[in-house]
Amino acid sequence: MLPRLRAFALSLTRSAVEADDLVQGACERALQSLHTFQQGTNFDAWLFRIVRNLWIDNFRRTRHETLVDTTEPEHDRPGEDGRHTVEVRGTLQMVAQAMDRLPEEQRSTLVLVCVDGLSYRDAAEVLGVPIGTVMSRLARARQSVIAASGEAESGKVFGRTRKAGESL
Amino acid sequence: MSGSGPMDGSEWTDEMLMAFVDGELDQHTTARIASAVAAEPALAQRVDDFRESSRLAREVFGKALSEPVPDRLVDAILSETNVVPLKQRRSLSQRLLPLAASVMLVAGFGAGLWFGERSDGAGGQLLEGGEIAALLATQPSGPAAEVSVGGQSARLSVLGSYEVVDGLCRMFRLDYAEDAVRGIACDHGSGFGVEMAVADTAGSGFSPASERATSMADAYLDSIEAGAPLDAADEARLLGEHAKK
Repeated sequence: MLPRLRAFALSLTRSAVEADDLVQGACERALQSLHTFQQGTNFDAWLFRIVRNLWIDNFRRTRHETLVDTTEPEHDRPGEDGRHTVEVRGTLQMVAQAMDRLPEEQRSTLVLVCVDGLSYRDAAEVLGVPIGTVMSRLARARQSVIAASGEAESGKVFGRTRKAGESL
Repeated sequence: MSGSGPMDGSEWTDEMLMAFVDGELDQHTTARIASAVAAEPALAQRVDDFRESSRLAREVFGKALSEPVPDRLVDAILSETNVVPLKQRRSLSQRLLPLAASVMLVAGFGAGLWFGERSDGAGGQLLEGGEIAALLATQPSGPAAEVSVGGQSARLSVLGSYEVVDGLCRMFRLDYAEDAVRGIACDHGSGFGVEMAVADTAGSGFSPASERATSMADAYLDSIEAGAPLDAADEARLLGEHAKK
């Protein structure tokens, strides 16, 4: 469970150190509010929600950042190994960068469902949004992931992205 | 492949295809999409893309999932709860470390709680050999009994019994020579399993219960909607009933 909480925290903070601080704080808060946990409800979702709430209360406001426009061209790929990096690694780097550029709400939804394995319903509960919102965020996030992967594989960093649903 | 109708891929929104991949749709819709996907390569490609996107996201975040949780984080959480005060109480920490590790896997965080679910791995540490489980099933609250846990002798006291919806829970305390553990074990119909355990403050001779261990045990009892402590007669009756099962 701790690793899953860390992955979610990382999707919020985008910094490993901050993510660990967040998880630690969330565990402390969970202990203090153990009595508020409703037996019969989803314990995992309850913990994830505490992580998110704590992030909103204490962590997010310390960041002076604006959301990056996801259509903005990304800076050059790190090319320390020259251009003959293993293709898979290149793809993953592109995907990681694409995920990094996602709006926070898309990235955290993506991680909750695809990485942490939450159902749409549980993710909706954690994020405090309707299931339809979870689905539209998730679909957009995954289209960005696929676009990044497609770009990497075609070797075009700034190539045109395939629209979701567009026939090949 | 144009026109309208269920076989036209354009009918299926991205959200629907994604939910199909994620197994979030009802049986009927799932079957409809599955047959549409089988008939239409373009649709199959969109479905593959959603499947692949999930795999890629997992791979990117795989490091966070697979790398060991840093000691700093584990220490901080455990010390917060007095479960394993690593520095001050080495002997206790050694005994509890496997327990704590299981706790984190089972309960989800290093709070020193097994929460709700019975854990064979974690509970097994304390219940190894069946001696304690047998005592929990029979011993009345109050008097302590000598037991052996992992080769060390200890005294087991049951502090109270509580009815829950589907069974019986008992709060116990295990006193070692210098340390103590407070826990809750429940029998939901298949024998007693430890569901929660925390280190209890202990000293040589006189050892007052740690306030935090007590309140955590109470919070756990509240969370499983346990009833008030049973009196001796009710406890004996319920233990007898459970023994027959």
